[in-house]
Amino acid sequence: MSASDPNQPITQIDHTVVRGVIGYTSKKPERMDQERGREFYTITKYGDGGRTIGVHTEIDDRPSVMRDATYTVDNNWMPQDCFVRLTVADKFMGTGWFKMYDDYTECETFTALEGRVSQRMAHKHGPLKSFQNHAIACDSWHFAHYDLSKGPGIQAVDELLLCSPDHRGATGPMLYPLRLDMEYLGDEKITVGAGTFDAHHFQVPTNNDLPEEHPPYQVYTTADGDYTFLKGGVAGYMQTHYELMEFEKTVG
Amino acid sequence: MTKEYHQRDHVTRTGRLLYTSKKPDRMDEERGRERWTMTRHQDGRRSIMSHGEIDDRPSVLRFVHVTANADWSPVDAFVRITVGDEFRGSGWFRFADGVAECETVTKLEGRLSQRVPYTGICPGFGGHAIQNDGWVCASVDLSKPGERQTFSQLISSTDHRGATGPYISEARPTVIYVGDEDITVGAGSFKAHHFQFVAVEGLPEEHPIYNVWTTTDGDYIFLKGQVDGYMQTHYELVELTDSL
Repeated sequence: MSASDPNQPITQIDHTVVRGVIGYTSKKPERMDQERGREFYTITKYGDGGRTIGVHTEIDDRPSVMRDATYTVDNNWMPQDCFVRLTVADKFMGTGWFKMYDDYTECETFTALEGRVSQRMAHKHGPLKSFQNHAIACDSWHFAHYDLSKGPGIQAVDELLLCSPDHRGATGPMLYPLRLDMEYLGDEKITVGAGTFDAHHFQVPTNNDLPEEHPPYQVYTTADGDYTFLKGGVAGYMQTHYELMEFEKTVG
Repeated sequence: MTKEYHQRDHVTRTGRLLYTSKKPDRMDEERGRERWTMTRHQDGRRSIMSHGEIDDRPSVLRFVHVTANADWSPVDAFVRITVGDEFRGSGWFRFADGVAECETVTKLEGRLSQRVPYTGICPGFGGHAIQNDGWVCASVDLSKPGERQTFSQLISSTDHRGATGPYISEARPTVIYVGDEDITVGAGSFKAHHFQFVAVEGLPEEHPIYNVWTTTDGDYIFLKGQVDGYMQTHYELVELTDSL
């Protein structure tokens, strides 16, 4: 039926919407459990299974980082496009737009350090499987590319593109390629601020492909197919903890 | 208590708007909603990030991000729209050095790069988020109540629901600053500026009269609005938080 079919209801709600809040705390001994940031997001899941997240992030650790990102994946979790805007120490750092095609990803950006830049990066391993916009809520989406039928172990996304190689995502935004190893450790039932959930437990081992080595990163996601970030923690010098504190379906 | 390793120089506000109908056969029916986050930096720059949903068929879903300088001239913006639950467009806008640029990909037009020159301070930008409509009112001179004021605006779509593009178009709204009033909405009672959009040049179809009430605190938070004519739509702030 066409959209103008008078036999159709006057309203159309084919999508669902969830909103969530992730709290950032420290696990350093002198700052144990102190709040050090937060993230607010809205995820729209379309009728065809694709989804868009709009996420506002604040890292209070000096220099503060504020990031707004809007990121879309298709029904197979393949990146479609992304907008990232960065403020560091309350000063403009950059604003950029990324568009993914089968063979390449393009970036149109303006940053305080690099000025106006247009990038076009060819994919080396076929269509891009995942994109790192540095929102914690999207860190868990990478693991949708882990084949759970093969059980616990290590699998890789051969090519991940990042909007920044900085551990806090505080540069650019510009394209940066990386290989991502994903370790699946098994399933657990866990309790976080937002409730009790059946969870997949993943880990990103130490990554040596970045300018500075990233410590291991534990991530727990929902086991319902939506890969909702439940909790996570980075070891090493970071000693950071992230936890879903609020989660509700608002539409659908 | 703020520690020396913490830096919070900005203010964050969040809001939720409800869209309802005022048509007799749909009176007060919910027909959409919008959730937004606004940040205001020390230097007066402001950003809004908004997620809007219009349920009226074909549905329109919109993610809008707009940043403006302290004088409300736009810095950059992003708009992503879905119409009838299908991708319609995703575009990025930047305003600097006398040029408004847009990098966009749309279902109908494909990949476009636009460069639109302007002189002086860049006109405000409208991305069709209802909260963004509140910011458009910042272009109105409050020292001239009752006068018709016409000014330029750059917009992401000339469609009344913002359901085309996104790409740069130009419009010239004529707005009357009616005066200040005390009003009550779902989010509470406020002192409000009352504006009336009486005409908008540059749209393919005439836009009905649009009354808008915003906060008087300088942030131009959209409190309430109503469009007359064929639309008969009502918008109201039902939640407002002042810090995270």
